[in-house]
Amino acid sequence: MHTVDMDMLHKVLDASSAQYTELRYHARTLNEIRIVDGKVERARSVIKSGVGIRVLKYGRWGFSSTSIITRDELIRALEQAIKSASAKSYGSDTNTVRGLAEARLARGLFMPEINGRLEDHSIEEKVRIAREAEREARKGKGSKSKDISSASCTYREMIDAKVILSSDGASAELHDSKPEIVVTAIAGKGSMKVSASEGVCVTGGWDDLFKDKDHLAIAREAAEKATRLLNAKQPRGERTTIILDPAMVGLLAHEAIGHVVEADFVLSGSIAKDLLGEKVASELVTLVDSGTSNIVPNAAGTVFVDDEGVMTRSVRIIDKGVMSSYLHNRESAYIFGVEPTGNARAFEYNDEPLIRMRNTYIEPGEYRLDEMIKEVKHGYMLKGARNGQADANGEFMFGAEEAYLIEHGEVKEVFRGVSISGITMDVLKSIDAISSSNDFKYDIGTGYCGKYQPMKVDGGGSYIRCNAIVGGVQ
Amino acid sequence: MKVKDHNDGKGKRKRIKRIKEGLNMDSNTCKDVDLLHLSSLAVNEALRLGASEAEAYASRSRHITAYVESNDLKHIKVDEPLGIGIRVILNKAQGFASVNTFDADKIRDAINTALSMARACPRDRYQRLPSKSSKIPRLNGIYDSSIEGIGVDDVALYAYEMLKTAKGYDARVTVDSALFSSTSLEHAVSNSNGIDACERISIITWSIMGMARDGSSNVSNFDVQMGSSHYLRGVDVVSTAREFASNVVKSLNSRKVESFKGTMIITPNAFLELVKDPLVYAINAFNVQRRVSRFARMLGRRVAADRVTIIDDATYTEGIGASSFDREGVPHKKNVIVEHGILEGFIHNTYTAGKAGIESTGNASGGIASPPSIDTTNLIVEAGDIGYDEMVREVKNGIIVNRFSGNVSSVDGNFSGVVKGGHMIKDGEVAYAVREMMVAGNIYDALNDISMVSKERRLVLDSLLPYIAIDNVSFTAG
Repeated sequence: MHTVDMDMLHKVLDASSAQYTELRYHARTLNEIRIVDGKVERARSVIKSGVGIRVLKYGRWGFSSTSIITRDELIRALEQAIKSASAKSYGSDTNTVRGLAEARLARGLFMPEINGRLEDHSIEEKVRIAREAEREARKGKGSKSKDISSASCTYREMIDAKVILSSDGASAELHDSKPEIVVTAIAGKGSMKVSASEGVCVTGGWDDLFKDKDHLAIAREAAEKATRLLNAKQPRGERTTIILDPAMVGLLAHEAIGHVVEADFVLSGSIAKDLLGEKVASELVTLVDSGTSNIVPNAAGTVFVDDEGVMTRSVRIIDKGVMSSYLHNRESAYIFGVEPTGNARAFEYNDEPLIRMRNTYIEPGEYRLDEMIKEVKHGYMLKGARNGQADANGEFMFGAEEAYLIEHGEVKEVFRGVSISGITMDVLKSIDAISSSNDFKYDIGTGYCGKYQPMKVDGGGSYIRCNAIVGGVQ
Repeated sequence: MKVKDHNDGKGKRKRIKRIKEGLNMDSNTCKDVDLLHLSSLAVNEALRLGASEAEAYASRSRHITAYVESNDLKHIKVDEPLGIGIRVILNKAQGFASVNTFDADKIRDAINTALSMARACPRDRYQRLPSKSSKIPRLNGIYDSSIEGIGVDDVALYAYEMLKTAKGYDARVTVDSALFSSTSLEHAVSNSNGIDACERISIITWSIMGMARDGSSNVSNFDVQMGSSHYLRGVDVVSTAREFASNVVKSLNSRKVESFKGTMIITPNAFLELVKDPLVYAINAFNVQRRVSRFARMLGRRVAADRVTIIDDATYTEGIGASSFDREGVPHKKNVIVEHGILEGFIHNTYTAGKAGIESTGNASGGIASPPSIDTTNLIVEAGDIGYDEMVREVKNGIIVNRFSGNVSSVDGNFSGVVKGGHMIKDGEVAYAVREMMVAGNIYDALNDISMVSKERRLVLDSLLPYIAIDNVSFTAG
């Protein structure tokens, strides 16, 4: 566990002449083992630690940081942050910070429940499981494993220690650990190759990572998926009915809604502007972003205290079809006259807190998946999340790894991955079935969300049925 | 077996001398330490602690960035990261660790961590560090000393100038975010084969992103424009802002159109989003040797239309990918990848070059926090023989794809995504902006279907790219 001189941090905080000052010590250890075709492609251990200092002066933000944690260096960084806040303002004053909303500021020690501390598992063990998983993907006992021509396995863990102090009273010490494992299998030869991945990321420990399935099972799933896709074609492009699996629901919640309700984006003119209290989705839809891992444990985006030292809240962004909240930091909460939601997050010590999502999901409904499929005359069942992106006008896209054709209520052949697109509100209003909590899971934790900085987030749900454009061939 | 460079008599003597020097620094002054001296001391220390071969890559930089958000200056950030990455080879197994400090004790801890990593990893007979070649030619034109004088007021002024230009272009333009950033970087690499290299680079970048809005329902797609220069005198935020503003205004009043098959003209920005990743994946020797690259076993064969020539060139000083040596200290040079559609070479680091029995192409990439991988430096696509306007006139039925938002699989080349800022071309005329239009196909097949390459090219950060026309592309309407 990393230690920092708390007394020194407090003294630096007290030395600030700014109207608001925030000090964040963050030490991160990143360990990563990547095995490719039986060889170690990389084995690294990266320590990144330092203190980020953010100040508010004359209604402007300034941020600076240092990785050298001595009193002199911290004071120098503080002065640099104040100097940045005091830079000549050439703009209008629309972005002058008029205040920060009152918040439940965190005090004390916070850590998630960890089953199997990562530090108690040796590098040798981590190298071993990555090698075994990679080997399993290539040579596993799956019937068609001969089709797999190449495989890789990445085991990665982030172990964090943080101290957050603010001049108005936040004083929190946080410890966190997020391990992940991803196996990618490539099937086929020559120009016929296709790749597929399977992975898990959790907030928690070693035993939490492997609680549902072990590394070999993950490897077999990746290999089986790649084998299935080997002879699959690209589907025909069309607007049609789609059923999304939990990973795709997580991506839909994140891309189609999550981004457009980040309050900074709302203030820049996203489509969610003026939509509070409006019906934006079918009444089956309740969409939540939460710092805690609701419904099922260990979601990868779990964070109890945000990087402004605010206790995170579970936010109902859409409540039974009606838009009911944006995602806030203290500054935007003040502008909107609401309580902060604890969405201010910074990736590393030298990143400033921005409004980011945590665990974003759509609440389960009452349907059974087989009923949902049965009612579809023509459409696709989409599985496995790839990339997604949101646009200002509400046009979003997100990608699926596999697309299963549904004809007359039956699941038919599989097609290769496609991107799906639509206008946020059209798609949300078209949701006419959501499956029960038995199907609920978080499943986009192995990815990162990008907004100047990367960020660990998660998302999920049960199966949902809606209507969108499938970007296939003509 | 080949005699390894560091095992010859000269190398041995040098190694003994290095071990004697050891890592001994005053941690209070470590921030301003001579970078090359530090990396060379770290190599000595790694050898002393038991590494058979060692490499240290150190860097120190200063970034000042002004952020614009919601049509106004938002905040200014000053960041001075530094750190060192240690790579060791022990019994042909590699380990790596890095720390973001120059404190001698912490560097020693990192060396020990790298050694334990190596002990935990299996042998790989191709693990080796590059040997010292002749003197590294110094690339001029990538460091502007005046960058050291840039302050927070200067970056704020440039950012504001960019914002003001975009807003002044048309009242309907909304700037969601923009930034102006100046970076002064110094990096050094040393290894136990006698490589010692160090240089300074200055990089100035700026970008602007947003949309145009005319009333509540007529909103354009997002557009992003970027600019960069190694020199302060090369800064031109006004052109970037105008290009952005003109693009978003032009994509107002968009229409839905029917699905069709036709020509796709991709802009340099769309090239980066659609073509660059799979192309770089396919020419990366690591993927070629794994046989997961579409270009594996294609050397000397046709991979693109005759009019396509692709070069990787770190010595092209206009691009921000320029530098004198790569992540392993191997001198940079110009590498021809595809010439008139024929695959001429791949990009290598020392590991893949050793496997292939050739010299590294100087494409070892990465920073202090990871062992070297492989990437392009500046990616250059040679200009074609047709002017952009004439190119549009040649298209009967097609779409100009200004940006691509979607998924591209580098393994099979399949792509599927949304056309952003798209414009319909009817009988050689740009007719109107389109919306809710998806595009799909296969990028490796498309390289062979490139029918036109423009004379005009755009430099986008580390890529110099023309406009490209591809025939027979599937467009799906919403």
